[in-house]
Amino acid sequence: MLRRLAARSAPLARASAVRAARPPHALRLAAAPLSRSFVSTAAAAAPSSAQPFMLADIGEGIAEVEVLQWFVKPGDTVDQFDRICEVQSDKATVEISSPYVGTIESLEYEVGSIAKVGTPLLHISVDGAGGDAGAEPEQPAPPVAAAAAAPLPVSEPAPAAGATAAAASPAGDRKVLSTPATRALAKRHKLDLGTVTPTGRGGRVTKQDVLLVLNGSAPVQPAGAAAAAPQPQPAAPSAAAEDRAVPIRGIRKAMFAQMTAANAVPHFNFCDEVRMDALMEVRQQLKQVALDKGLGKFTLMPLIVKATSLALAEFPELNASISEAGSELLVKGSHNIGVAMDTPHGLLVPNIKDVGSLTLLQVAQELSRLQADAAAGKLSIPDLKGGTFTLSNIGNLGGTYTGPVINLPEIAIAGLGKTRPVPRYDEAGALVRQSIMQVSWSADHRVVDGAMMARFSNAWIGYLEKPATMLLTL
Amino acid sequence: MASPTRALWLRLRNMPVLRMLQLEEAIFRTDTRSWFITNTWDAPPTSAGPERDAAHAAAQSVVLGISGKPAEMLNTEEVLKAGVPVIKRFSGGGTIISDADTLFATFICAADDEPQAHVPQVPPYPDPILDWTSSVYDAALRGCGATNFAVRANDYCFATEEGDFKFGGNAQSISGKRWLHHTSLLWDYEPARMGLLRMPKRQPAYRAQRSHGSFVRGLSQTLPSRDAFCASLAAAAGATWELTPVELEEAQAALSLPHRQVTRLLRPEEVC
Repeated sequence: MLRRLAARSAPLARASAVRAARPPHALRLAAAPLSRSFVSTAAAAAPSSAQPFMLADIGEGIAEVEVLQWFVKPGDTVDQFDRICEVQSDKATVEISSPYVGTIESLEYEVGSIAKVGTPLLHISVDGAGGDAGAEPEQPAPPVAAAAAAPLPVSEPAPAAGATAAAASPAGDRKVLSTPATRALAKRHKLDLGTVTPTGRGGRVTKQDVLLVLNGSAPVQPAGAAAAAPQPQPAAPSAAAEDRAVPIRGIRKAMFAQMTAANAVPHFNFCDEVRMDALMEVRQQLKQVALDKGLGKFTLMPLIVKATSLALAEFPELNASISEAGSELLVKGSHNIGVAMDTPHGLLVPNIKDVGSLTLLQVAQELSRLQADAAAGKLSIPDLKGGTFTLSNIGNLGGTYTGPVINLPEIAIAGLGKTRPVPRYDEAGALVRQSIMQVSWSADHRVVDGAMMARFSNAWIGYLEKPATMLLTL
Repeated sequence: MASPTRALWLRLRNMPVLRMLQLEEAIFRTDTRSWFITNTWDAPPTSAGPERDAAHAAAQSVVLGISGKPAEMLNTEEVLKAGVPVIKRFSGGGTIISDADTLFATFICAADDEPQAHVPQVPPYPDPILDWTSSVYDAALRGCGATNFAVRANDYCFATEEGDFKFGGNAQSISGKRWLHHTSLLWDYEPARMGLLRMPKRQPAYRAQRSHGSFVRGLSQTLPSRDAFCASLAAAAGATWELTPVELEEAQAALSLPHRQVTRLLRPEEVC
């Protein structure tokens, strides 16, 4: 490490010498600390008054920038770290984000105009409805990159020092934690925050949660969703329902393309039932052990994922894709099993890599990690790429049988229904209560025939109904 | 001993510039890791003729900065007549004309919430970024025997007795603590193609009103080969990041993730 630091500092010193001949900029700012941010410290203002958001210190020697794009307009509410605008300085485009929670009152520059450093970019009312304390940050925070999903802001921003304190607002008998900006947004749309599923830390309702309800999208669920188009939650009741056009963007747009492509694949469907009682008993036994090992919760999914891998080991040609020329079945060595997840940004299918070589505990840990990252909008490209087989647990929302659409370039997928207690006859002919889960398989009928699908399903069901048989593979 | 910082190394070959920029933008906006990306074209035939023309035609494009105006930066009639695609990119900076003799290199640095990929000694501001990239290019060129690298008004140049000659233009995009710096480097160039660019209204002092053809110089006049330069550049970047080669598939997933997309091809009516 010391050698590397030494190597680094030498070239930097040389670079400074190389750049010594650069002509000075016409205006040079007074020396500013390296921990500068993109906003000046705002003058203390009464909580309810608009205050200027100053453009300051985008870089040493930079006196002005061109305003390229606004991401907000007067009347918009913003959370801390929401994108405000993009500016250009010489050769750098820079996204500027808000250190405040508040409402935009006015924009001081038009797109294409030149903004001077040290002048207000806009004016913002920092305190929203309710006059809660802590609406201003104690110190300006540097802008934080917005993650994916334009145009909506994504994920609850990580709290910085002096980050806005969420305050409770009563919603019926239940207190709902949210920020002033979020409450203002909900109030403007006559939306009861108590009806919004919170996804923020500590059970906070975030601005994103509210926007999802207003746009008719589903909030985050703990695990799984159908591979078919997600069913939107009913929008909050409004005084007058009007027709509206919702642009197809982001993940929905990607899903549109994906499903259109998958529609060209002839799907073979096969359905069956699984008696889940034994598996549920195993889950009960393992739950506390998993908790003792640091896992937050232990559901049935890790067991189902592992059983899928065991069945694929017996039928490896279902863990495959088709070559571009259609002349080869490309059988994959690793079982990278995808689990469809309903996220704030839409349906995503991260996969657990190489399930075949993981222990059940490792599968559970990785699934938990993917679910947390999905909820936070932090899934990475490696998480989303390389899947070889997909499980879609629509049963988490409800339902029995489904017609899942294959997640290309894979060739098979399972849709899992909700496990319900139902009356069944046992082998002795007695009427008993059993917990039944429906499974709906779809497979690419160009390379998968009914017999293979049925045999695979039987093997898979065998592992789930008699979980002790999984031990034979250890 | 602390773990080394890591970056993914994507080596593109013959990727059209529009696609390359769209990929970079997608990675910059949706990925959180550090990346080093290069794009080179197969060397066109050295002799003039239809094969050489075809090789360049497949690769050529004009790339404007995010706020570049075609009428100000281009001889638009000639550009349209030549059928050269005009692209608007997501980063700032000036206009380039690229062909099969243009090399591209891009650094994308993770924000500080990715400690294994973040480079804390390069604060996410234009000058420190350019300082760091300059040091990398200086080291890369020295690795190929060239010791007269210089930075003039944000341009990468060779400093000679006859003056400073630009071989690379660069641009940046900064979002929070994540930054991108990309460079187009002239391996060689054709003066006729340079004629599609207008003399910019604002030009750096070192250019001294020289025409495009008179103030640029290809790397081929100094360096042994494209591949040698790219290898040397990777070695220089490797002083900061442990580079892990990845395939295109690793990067392409970013394209399907939702993100703001600025890079686009301009329609002919937008070029006029």
